[in-house]
Amino acid sequence: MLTKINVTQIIKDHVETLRNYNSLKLSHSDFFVFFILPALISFSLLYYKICISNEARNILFTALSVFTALLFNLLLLVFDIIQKKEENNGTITKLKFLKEIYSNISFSILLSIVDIIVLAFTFFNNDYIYYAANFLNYYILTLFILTILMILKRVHLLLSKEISN
Amino acid sequence: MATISLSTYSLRVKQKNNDNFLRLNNLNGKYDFIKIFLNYLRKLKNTSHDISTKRLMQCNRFHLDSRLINGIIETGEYGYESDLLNVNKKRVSYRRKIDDAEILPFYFLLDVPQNKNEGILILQRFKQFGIRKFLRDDFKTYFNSLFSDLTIEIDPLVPYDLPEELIKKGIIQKIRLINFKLPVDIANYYDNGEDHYEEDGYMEIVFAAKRNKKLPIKNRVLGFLNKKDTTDFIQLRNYEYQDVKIEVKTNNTKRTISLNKFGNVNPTFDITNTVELTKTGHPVFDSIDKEAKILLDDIKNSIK
Repeated sequence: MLTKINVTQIIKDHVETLRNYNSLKLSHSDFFVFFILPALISFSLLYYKICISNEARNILFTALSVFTALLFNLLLLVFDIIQKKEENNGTITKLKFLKEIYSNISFSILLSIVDIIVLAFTFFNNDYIYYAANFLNYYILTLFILTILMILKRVHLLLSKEISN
Repeated sequence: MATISLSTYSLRVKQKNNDNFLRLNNLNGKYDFIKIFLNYLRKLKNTSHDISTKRLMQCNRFHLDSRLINGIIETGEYGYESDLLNVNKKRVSYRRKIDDAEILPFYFLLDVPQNKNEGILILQRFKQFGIRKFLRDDFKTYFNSLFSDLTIEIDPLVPYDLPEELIKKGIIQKIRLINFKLPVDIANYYDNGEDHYEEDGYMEIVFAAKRNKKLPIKNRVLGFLNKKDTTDFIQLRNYEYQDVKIEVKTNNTKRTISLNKFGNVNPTFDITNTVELTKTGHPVFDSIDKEAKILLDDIKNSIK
């Protein structure tokens, strides 16, 4: 029933990119940075009762919407590079690298969409829903920023290489 | 030691608006591809110069034997300056100028069978350098100037069955587990140049059979031939490796097969340990020619 909106493959593909390239094993440090650290940050902020204000919520709505659109464009750019077989020169490494960037961008788009939905729940007057939504928002936002940094590094290297070639 | 390997490619010609490949000895009803290629090589005696890529190519040695052409193509790039240091005197012996091109020799072998629509091209690779792209583009330009209605395709030839055939028929004498000291992030590997890590230095653990004996590991090797991940080939504590190279002896010939999961689309056959070198550090022609012809026979047998 939910096949058409099943995004688990996007999550799986992104998690696969966190494997160490030299050993193919999931990196413990990457797992900590991308999944545990956001939780620690979210807990800390909620512990000190730092919740999202109305102004911050509005800014986040706007920023995430803009990011979603920009990331879709970036997705198409990477797709275009993947399509150019001649420039790929047949190396599997480059194709693998491009596919990983593609997965990272898709995941970050997913995060921004989910965070927009989670932000809507911060309107609720119910304390449980309110605090849970705040926690999730901080978690997803931190994960989003980390993923964007990862994408930034990879796209910078990719385009630098394309330019120098 | 610099890696010397052979890469294999298929060569086919077809009409531009048709998917059917033509017989190479009967293009457009009367032209033989062998003669076209020979004329191209004669033209290459006067150096081919691509200004856009700052690359030169020339061919002063080639030989036709029935439907086989072999020879040496020399190619080099220019466009930057550098100092050449004498390693003994520790002094600059020459300053390379921006218009100086470092010319390297590359062996080639072209087989154009009679009444077939596919030829086999074998090209030497030297370290991370090869001539496929430049040769392909330059030859395509020449070919298209003669036959505007035809198109030539030179694609990697992946004889999938060949490694399996060699392992089944041969005796495994050595297994090398190679750690290229690769980075954790694929981005850094891509940025630094993929082959750069292999050339910088690497660690390896070698399992070798005693003289005239074999390693009883054939079934395990065959089981890993089609796997993407070969890091579990042999479980070793505190040692991770990215490539497994198997040395197989068949009919008094040693062949090295890589189970490399990082392998690129162009299959390469490492002949560093079997080819003889001259004092210049490049292969002796007869030695590399012999290796290429053995490889050609193996490929032809595996794709029958």
